[in-house]
Amino acid sequence: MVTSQRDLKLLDYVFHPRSIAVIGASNDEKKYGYRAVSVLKTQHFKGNIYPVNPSADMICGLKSYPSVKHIPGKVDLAQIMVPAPLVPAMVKDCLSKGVKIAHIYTSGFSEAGKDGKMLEDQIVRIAGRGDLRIVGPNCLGTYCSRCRLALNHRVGMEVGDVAFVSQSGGLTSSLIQAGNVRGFAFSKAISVGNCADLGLVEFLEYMASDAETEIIAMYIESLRGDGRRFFNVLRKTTRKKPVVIFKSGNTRRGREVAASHTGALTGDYVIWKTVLSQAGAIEVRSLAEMADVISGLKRLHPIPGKRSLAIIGNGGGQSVISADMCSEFNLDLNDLSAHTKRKLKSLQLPAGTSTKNPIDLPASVLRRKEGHFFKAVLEGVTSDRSIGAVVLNLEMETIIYDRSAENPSIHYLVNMVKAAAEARSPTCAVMVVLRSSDDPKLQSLKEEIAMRAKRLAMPVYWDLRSGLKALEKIIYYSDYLRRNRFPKWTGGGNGT
Amino acid sequence: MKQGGIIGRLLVKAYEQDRSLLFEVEAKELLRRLGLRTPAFKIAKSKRQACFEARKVGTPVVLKVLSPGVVHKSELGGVRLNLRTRGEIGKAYDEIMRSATRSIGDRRIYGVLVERMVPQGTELIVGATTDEKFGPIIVFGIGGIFVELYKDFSMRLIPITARDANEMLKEIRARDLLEGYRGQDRLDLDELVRILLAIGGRDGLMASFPSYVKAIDLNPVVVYPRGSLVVDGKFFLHQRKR
Repeated sequence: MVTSQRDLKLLDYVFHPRSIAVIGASNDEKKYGYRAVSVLKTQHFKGNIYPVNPSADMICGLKSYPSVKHIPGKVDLAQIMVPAPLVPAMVKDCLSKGVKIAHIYTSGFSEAGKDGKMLEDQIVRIAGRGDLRIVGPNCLGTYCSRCRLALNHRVGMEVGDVAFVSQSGGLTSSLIQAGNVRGFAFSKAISVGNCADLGLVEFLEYMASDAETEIIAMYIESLRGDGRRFFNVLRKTTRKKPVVIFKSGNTRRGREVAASHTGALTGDYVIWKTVLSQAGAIEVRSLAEMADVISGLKRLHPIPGKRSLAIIGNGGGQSVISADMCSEFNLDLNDLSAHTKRKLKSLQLPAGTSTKNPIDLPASVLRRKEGHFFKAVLEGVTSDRSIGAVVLNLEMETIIYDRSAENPSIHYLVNMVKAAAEARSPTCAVMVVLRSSDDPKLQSLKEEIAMRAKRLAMPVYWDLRSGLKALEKIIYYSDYLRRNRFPKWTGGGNGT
Repeated sequence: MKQGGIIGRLLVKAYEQDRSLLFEVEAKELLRRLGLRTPAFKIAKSKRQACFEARKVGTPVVLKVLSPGVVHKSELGGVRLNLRTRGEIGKAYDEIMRSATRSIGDRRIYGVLVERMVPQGTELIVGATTDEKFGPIIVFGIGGIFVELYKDFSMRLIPITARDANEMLKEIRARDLLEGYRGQDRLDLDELVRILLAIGGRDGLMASFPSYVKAIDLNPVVVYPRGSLVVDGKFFLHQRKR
């Protein structure tokens, strides 16, 4: 259990080790022991790499050592990937070498049954004889963009300020990849495995105090240990940084107090929901939602605190649909102020334009002056003090197939996204939703728009529901801070 | 709340007797000590006594079977409502005894509780439970016998503050019911907050006696525009470790 600043300091060695020993390194390209060394090498880890293997001299072009004790320099972190029965001996070696962190990749421990659990307990006991701390077992790697500690060959190493603490290794690399496309990058990520020693709570506490981290994401299957401690650490963390949590494995628990009504109401998942909302965490139900929320946290400026929105779109049907959706997510489509309406009128919008919220603009208005005219319309709305965020709800195809059916052009759309970025006001954020059919021809255009949007630090969503849902969750967090009289969160930065 | 007070003594006694539930009369005493109001009641061990006590508490009355083994009384025909005359009370007494004896045997039946029928009000539930992982939790919602059907409730980890309690009232779907639905008077929300804090506050029952009280069902709590009555309060206790 991490309780002191000294313990938290120790966790720095998980993410910023000056040297790594790979115990179980191998020259066999099919083995994980080969991949681990080659990932460190090819992703240019900023530190010493020491392969450990009793029967090889060189691995991946690096000098190999028969045991961790034979390594001449200091070893901060040992990645252990030998078969489970050999792990205790390796942990002992790490202890006598003075290794700070043993990160055990090997599976076959408590997740595999009783014998595995005994082996796991044994490892923890050995480590406890000294100051050695354990990550895992049964987990994939650690990620730190600054010291170029990578999970695998394909994961991007862009430096950012999102941290991910996850009970699944696969999800870790998926979220990092998602961020790459959606315009957010990571400071650190870790898959915690069985949490025999260091677990979700310790890493949450670490990320809370980590100066390189502004947003924390967590994937939780089941919590090992004291739930109250998790709750208390989480509540303390959300005062300073948003924590986005995806909790899975929500089957109903065998109810202990079956005789009481209260017991019958309080299934496992309901309690988790309560814990998360009471502690001020943002709960999501999928990895996609997680990416949607993080993208919004990074790029919505200012972070919306009011439930009142304005939606500007093309198409009468969409206006009705978007109004329904707002009501579903408990978001308000307020009337625009008289001042704003006058301003919009003075722009001489064509007949058929509705200045009621949601605002329906004909495609011709969107295209006027190659999309620039649109900026004046937007600015009229974003300066309305009663509106906390404007959602642009645009149907892509009408706009890009304007000139001909053969040659789609994103020229107008890009101008609109630019206009949206410029129209943001100190009181009103702008979010862009670009709807389209599944036409594969659009894919590359979408990627291009996403890239431009990334540069403009604009949040772009590909369907209205995802956008509004993320917006609602972010407003929920602002509201939580306000209700508790905590300072506003301003860590979103400029979207980089 | 003090460990050595009357509430503490009452809980310790039940705990030492290894009971999983407080007796109904103990529960009423405990509620009173928590500052919560319960309907006037008397205990009767015969038909004649039931009629006699009914006049004392005031009609109409409710008869409830009094037995340590019964948790959900109405499900086995152990509750009769709205009884006014001697004839009604006597008949209800016999029927309760018959159906209770059929399902639990007569040795564990002490008699009946003769309770003043409470005026019409809004039936709510205030409950608490102890989660293995997260510890004590408080629940507020729409009460009565359809609690598990409506599943309209809000929840917090204990301890809660007055602000938490106020938020809990607003989080149920039927929140309009509390605010005076369709021309009815607004319910006594301060009273509800007081009840929630008595159970789940920093100084409330659950936080003061976590090693004794495992779960609580106050259902229904009948709430009025002014005040409330806890019509049925159950206190589930932790079992002694053997």
